Amino acid sequence: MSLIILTKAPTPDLEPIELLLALAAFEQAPKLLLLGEGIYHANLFQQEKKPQGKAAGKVLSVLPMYDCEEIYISKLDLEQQSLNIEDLQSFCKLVSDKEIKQLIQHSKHCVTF
Amino acid sequence: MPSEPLSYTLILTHSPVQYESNLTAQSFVKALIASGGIIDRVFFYQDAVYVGLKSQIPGQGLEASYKGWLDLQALQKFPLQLCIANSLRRGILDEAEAARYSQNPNLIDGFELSGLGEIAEACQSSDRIIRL
Repeated sequence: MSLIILTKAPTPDLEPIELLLALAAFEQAPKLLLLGEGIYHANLFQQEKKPQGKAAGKVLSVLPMYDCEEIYISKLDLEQQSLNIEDLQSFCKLVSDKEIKQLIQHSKHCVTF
Repeated sequence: MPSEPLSYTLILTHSPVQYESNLTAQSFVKALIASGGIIDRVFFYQDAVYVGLKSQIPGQGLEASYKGWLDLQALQKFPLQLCIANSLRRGILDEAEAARYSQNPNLIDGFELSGLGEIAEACQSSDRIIRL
């Protein structure tokens, strides 16, 4: 099982998400962990960063359709970013630091962006 | 009994001009080869794909970072793969893509454009994936 960790806010082209989708397309069942400013990928109010671009929140909303259903958000980082859980995609799961440690330990590979 | 050597895939994501991660990665690969490690591939993603741009001209007295990769590739024949979507977005084209888009090819020999399926393959087959 591969874990993709996003630590930076969405960019005009969502290239790290493309990697996640590719892993899902190859039936790798990747998991996604959002830390720090990476949490903004799940923000429902994120708008596209360039004309005709894709809004990160909308892209994230289709991940379950690609069998990428396990999306985790750091509970501590959510508080530090002053975001509310209601502002995020409803299927994301809040996790503690202890759970994050377990998530990383149980992953064969972790790739951080 | 000696243990099996580990196999590695490296993923680089930073621009070779703005960050030192290319040089760090080259030192790391050199050390891995010296210690018997197997390099499955080096995959360049996001701005790291600029390493394969043929028209780059380094400052006087400096060496472009792609040369270090070609030297390492000569030691152990591993592929140097640039993400095809990220490369096209940044105007880096091999002969096939240049023909498709009526442009001139500008990819350095020794590098290749590859799909993200290579990373999926790496997740299956490489013992370690290192992102720099």
